[in-house]
Amino acid sequence: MKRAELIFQSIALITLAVAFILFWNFGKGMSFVENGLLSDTTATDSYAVLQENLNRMIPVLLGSILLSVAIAFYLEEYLVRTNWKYQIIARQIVILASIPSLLYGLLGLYFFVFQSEKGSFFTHALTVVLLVMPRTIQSTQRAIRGVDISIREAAFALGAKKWRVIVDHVFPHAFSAIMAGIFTVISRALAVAALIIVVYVWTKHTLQSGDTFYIPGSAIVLLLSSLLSSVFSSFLEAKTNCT
Amino acid sequence: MQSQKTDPILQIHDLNVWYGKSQILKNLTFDVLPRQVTAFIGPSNSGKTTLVRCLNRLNDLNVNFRYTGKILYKGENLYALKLKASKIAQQIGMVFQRPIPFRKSIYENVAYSARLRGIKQPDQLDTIVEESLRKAQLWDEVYKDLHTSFDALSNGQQQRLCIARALASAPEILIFDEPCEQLDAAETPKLEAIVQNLKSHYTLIFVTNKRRQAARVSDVAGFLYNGELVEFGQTEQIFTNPIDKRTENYVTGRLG
Repeated sequence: MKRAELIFQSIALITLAVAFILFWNFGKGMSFVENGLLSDTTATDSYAVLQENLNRMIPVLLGSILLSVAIAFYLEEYLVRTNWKYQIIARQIVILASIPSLLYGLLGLYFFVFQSEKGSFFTHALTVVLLVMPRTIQSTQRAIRGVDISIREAAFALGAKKWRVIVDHVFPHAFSAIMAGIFTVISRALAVAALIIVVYVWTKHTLQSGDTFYIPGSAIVLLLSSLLSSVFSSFLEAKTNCT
Repeated sequence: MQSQKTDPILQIHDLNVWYGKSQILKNLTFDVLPRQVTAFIGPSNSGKTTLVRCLNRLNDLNVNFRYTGKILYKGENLYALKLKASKIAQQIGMVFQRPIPFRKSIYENVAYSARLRGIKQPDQLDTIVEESLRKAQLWDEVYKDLHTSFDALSNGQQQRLCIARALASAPEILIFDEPCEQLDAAETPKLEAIVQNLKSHYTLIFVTNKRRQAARVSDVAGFLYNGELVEFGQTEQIFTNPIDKRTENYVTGRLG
């Protein structure tokens, strides 16, 4: 059981790494990049921008993931659920996490790219943080809650201090679930990034200078309804989780 | 009676316990003498587990836990601020209903609690592991594959592994919380034998809802019913000549 899990995990990691390396090294030469979506807007140019952005954003991504895991452990292990601090933080996280990631992407595109010519490091980082942190915190919280209470009790009953219990038992037990959450979040963030690139290239391609970027009314209706339903879901989530 | 000369290791005075608004234990007063088996019997939901969880401060994990009264451990308040819960838990060990081994090898499971007390030398750890496993009567069955996982062990062996693990932290008191609940008939006598052997070195508290088992293993017994300690005294007297009507009903099988 455990060995199968390990093999599966390593296969997934290797696939990911191989895909990443392929994308990184040969992406420029890949025909679909030049002839496909990004055709006749300077494809290599867009790829260079992407690579530059990724170079800058990967540290931010990793940093925010680590911070999120730390925050989740702090929330679940060191704050009492009925504590007002827990209530406030947890509610904000639930709300932020339930907002569709595309909205963050569009927000980033609109405010952070179109408003400033090239987009500063700070605005990019803020988009990544908003995309990644709430969901990572939430999935890590769930992973921690999933650890059987009896394991904790057994460790406490032997005289283990709290941090020992976390390091020796809770973290190893929750590890797979935490990693699963992190990779889901990364995959969503990358998907949104891809979508945003498409939108960006398309607008750059079609808009004349001086035109303003606008979102079609039907899209706004869809976005608003998605926001509404996510607010409703976060309300329900907060009701079940924060009490 | 030599037990009257020795000082009690645990003194519980007027203990009331609440989880949130519901009161689980009501006005419990009793002493636990060292080197004896003190058993608590009673039907389920009578507060047995809650009581023993107060004694090693495992209830600290529960935010709704509230208590009044006094619990003295060797004359000192068990819940005093200067006493760390981890220190108490190390000295007052616990074996749970269900065997809960850690996801480590047999050796590491037992060595874990020794490491928690700061023992690091490999040869010292080896002796502690062997001693603990011998006391839990598991050594002969596992000494060949100490470094393999506990997966191959039976339920009863896993429970004995948990006893060895609790013993490796060198406790003064060892609490058994219905340890035979999930064991088969062949394993139960083994566990009772272990309890009898451990009595000479440790103070044992044994929670069970099997009346005959309590009669077999314990020196002193207490009958808990609906959070009240109905009767507390020598096991023989409790089982043969109970004072309270409810105790009589319970030990004869008419109640619970």
